[in-house]
Amino acid sequence: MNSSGETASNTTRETDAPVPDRGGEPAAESDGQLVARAQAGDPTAFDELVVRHRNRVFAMIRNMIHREADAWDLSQEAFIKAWKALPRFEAKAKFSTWLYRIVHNVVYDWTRRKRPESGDEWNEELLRSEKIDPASRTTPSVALRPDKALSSDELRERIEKALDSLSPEHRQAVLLKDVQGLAYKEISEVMDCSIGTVMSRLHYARKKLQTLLKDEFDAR
Amino acid sequence: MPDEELLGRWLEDELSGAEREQVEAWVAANPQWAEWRDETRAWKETLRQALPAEQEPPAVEFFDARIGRLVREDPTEEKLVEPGTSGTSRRGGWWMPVAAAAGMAFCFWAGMRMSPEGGGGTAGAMPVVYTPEQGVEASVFQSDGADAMVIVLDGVAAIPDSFEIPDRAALDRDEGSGRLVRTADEEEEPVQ
Repeated sequence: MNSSGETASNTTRETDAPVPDRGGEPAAESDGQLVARAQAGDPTAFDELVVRHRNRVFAMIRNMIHREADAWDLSQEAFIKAWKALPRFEAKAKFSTWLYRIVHNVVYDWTRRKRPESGDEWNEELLRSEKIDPASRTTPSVALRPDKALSSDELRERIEKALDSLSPEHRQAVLLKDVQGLAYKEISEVMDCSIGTVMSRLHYARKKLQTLLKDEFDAR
Repeated sequence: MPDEELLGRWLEDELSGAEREQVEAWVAANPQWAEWRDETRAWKETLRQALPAEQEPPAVEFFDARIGRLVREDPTEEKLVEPGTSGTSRRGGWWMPVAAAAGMAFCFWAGMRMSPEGGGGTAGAMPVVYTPEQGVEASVFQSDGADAMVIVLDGVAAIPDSFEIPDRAALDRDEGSGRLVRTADEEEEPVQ
């Protein structure tokens, strides 16, 4: 963890700037440079972008849908869509943010195909409740102290179960912010909504998750 | 008091420079916010311990290779849907069942002449077969003599007659470059 409290994993996402020289080796190209080469028709540049981003894309989708085989297929679909849409990509946003936007669309399309008839546990009433407390803090003040004896597998299982009870919008907000470490502005671009909406979604998603997990931990 | 968005970004450690100093000067007189920021950090730490931000896909080499192949087959979106391309020609026409039957007959013929232990086969590098479904076993039979390879998937659910094969491809190795090249595609002439 660095001085600002962010974990080191967040730093690996910032690849739009040129990657620093490592031990005398030639400096790696930035995402922007690779995108430019790929747009010019060089598929090897896109290969490099795939290698650079695939682990985050796969983890994001895996955490969204909790099905490894489907996450594998959807990750493939996201990269192929990215390649096909690459001529239209403009360097206004970071490549990684744009890629997360494609992931967002792929996962939502899949979710609609998979569960066209089912509603989410977070129904319309809950979605409307986002608007009733605009001044609320982003993080609810629910102290969460998971049992130290809880294995990482058990903890993951319980958190995934709690995540499943959220709507896709709330789940995605938590994953992009709390796991992937994106900034509010980036999340608003990915989810195509205002920063205020992202903050509201995050607040209620965390509150719901923490309540569910607190019950789990207290019950032990 | 800083506005809500600025405070929210400070809670998430998104601020730097003058914005951060401005908020922290206000927080000094409102220490409850420092506690809330610590709770936010602790919450994120808990989640990150349980849910990885990065996870390598299974069969990662196949993952990369498949994307690489598809990217090279469809260079741009504009080429994806060409004017005048009928659904029949992309999805397969009347000749598809004939071609499938011929392929199955060939596989059967080749399979009769090979064994997984290598009788008649090669000891060279064998391909890695990724089977996303649990309980499915893949066996690869390769024969230089027959110049063929058969992949048997044991445990796959029966394929209904209504299943439409969306695409097929055959790859061959180019003698000059040594690279795999596509030798049959959707535009192939019907089998006579």
